[in-house]
Amino acid sequence: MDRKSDYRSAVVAPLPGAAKGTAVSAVDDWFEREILPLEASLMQYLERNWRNPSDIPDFRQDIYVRIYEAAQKEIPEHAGKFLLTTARNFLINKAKQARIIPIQTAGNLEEFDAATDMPGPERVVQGREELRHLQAALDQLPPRAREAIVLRRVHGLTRSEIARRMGINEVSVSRYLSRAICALADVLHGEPSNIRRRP
Amino acid sequence: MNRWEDEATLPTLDMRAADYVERRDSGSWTEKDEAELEAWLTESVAHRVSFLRLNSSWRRTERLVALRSPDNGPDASPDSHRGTRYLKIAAVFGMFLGLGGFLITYFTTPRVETYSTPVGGREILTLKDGSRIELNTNTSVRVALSSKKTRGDSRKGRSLFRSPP
Repeated sequence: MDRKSDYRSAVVAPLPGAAKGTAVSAVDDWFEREILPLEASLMQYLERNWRNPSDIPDFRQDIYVRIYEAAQKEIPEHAGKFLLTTARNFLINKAKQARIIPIQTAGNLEEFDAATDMPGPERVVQGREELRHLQAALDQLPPRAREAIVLRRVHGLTRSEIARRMGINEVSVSRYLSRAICALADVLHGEPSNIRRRP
Repeated sequence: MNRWEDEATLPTLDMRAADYVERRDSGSWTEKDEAELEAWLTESVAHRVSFLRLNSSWRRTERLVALRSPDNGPDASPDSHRGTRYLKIAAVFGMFLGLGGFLITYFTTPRVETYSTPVGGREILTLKDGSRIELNTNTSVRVALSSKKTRGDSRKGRSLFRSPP
């Protein structure tokens, strides 16, 4: 089927910008391979060391930007250590800006070490377990977003087909799909979910 | 300071990145789209990391295809399902044919029953269709009863058949 082959090539193709030099795609690869699998550890670290949970997604993004920019100059040897050092420095700066005496942050060096040993890439589960994980992630989505993403990903329908089936316009479909993609990223990168949920 | 200020908030930025991720993976992605994405990605590292992050989890959802089964297929389209749907219709049709055949055979095949009397016995039977059989002593008859007609065979002795009134 045409759709299938298009989709394969899209997945394998390097991101735009890669053609200009190997550097961009090398950093992209490194970021995806070494940093993203550590997201659960990073989130856990941030949650433990920052009081306001609503800041955390923004912090994560800022830390990723710093990491990526640093890697453009030189790819760090130890991704895990580099990520956590960056995260710690970031929090210390934030604490200073917020005029919080960074006792809390500075006193957590041990946790750092513990966090570096946190299950990272090895947490990437395989096969059936991965599928179960995905299903659990789907279950956490709002019903309409879930319906849209299931039609798209499980049944391979196009946006216009989904719009017809759900009785909504394509703009709404793309909004549901985008929302689902963001939510799934949070669940999938932030696994396991019992760590994500704060008491 | 946030470095993705041009997109106002992270959710807005992520929504846009997610839109690129999904469209890039569909059949309708064009050269022009790719150029637009490239421009957007080079605009800021924040755009790029957001895109990389969402794209990576999107690819992991590829496995969701495994959840597809003929039972949960969407009612309308896609084409790949049509074959199995016809097959299902055919199967149901076949089942009805089979059941019909069975019922026809069941009702048209005569059920054969044997009635007999011992020596010295005497019996008057009324069959389902209303016909009566009188059996004399030491008599045996075979009755084949179908929906259309009743056939009786005298095996031994004497019997009297009377058709329904």
